[in-house]
Amino acid sequence: MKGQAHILEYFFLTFFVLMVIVLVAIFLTAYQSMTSGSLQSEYETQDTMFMLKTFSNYPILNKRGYKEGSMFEDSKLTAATCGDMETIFGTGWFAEIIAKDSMAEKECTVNDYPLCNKWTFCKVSGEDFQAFEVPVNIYRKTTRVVSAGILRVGFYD
Amino acid sequence: MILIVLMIIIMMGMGIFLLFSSIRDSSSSEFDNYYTHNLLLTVLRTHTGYKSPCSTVSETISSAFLLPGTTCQGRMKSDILNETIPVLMDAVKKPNLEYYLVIQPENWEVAGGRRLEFGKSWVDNEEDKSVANEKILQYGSNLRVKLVLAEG
Repeated sequence: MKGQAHILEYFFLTFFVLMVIVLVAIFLTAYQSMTSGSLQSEYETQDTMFMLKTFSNYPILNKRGYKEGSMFEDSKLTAATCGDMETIFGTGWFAEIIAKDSMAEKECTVNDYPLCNKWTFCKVSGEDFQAFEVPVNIYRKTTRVVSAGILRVGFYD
Repeated sequence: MILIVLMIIIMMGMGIFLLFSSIRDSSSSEFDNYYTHNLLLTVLRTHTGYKSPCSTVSETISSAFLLPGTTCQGRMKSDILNETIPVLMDAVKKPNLEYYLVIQPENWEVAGGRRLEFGKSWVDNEEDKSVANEKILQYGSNLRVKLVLAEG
């Protein structure tokens, strides 16, 4: 009888140790996947922040004299090309700047300027992407009016 | 019995650790702050379509505070703001966000005076909100502008 009780005790002890090992393994796996997921999203947000801030303050695209926020100049946006931007930011991204005025959305080319309100750089249709946007100002050089708009930056998966 | 209690303590400890480590997300709040500040600057700098001293939103705000009851091209300055700010906000902010914009003189809490409010005031009471502050010093005014954003 005493021997049986000892065996039962050992059985419970072994079961407890095994349960603790399984729990620790589950915990470590969950923690690992959680931290790697949050690190991934943190890197993505940092990349986006860098891209948005650099784009917003890049002298080739912005009106001079604004230290904070952005003041894109429409003539500079129209003159800039995807190739120009790729020499600075590399590949695998796109950017759109849309002035939210009373006009219907119209892509800006050298021929349509200034009767247009959307500038697109390096957009490839059909590819999956993740995009982020921030409000920006756009200076319309011909009318000297400051419009509100959005800058959308996307990264291809 | 002791083993069961030990097991419960271990499980609770792990659960609490996982919960706390999932809470911190500094980079997303950095983006929210950047977004809110950009939205506030964008709205303040945008032209209203009226002539000076109402050409931009910030100019209209300062002149509405300094010379209340006056007009620009026949329209009350406060009406211009009531008409322009909500339209601008809706045009550029993300549709899932609600805003609350407050404009008041510096030391309003002590000295009192006029105060302009736009958007929904409940946004200011939300726990998960993002706040941007700016000052308007045009024409000798000293105004504090606060924009609060939260998910609606």
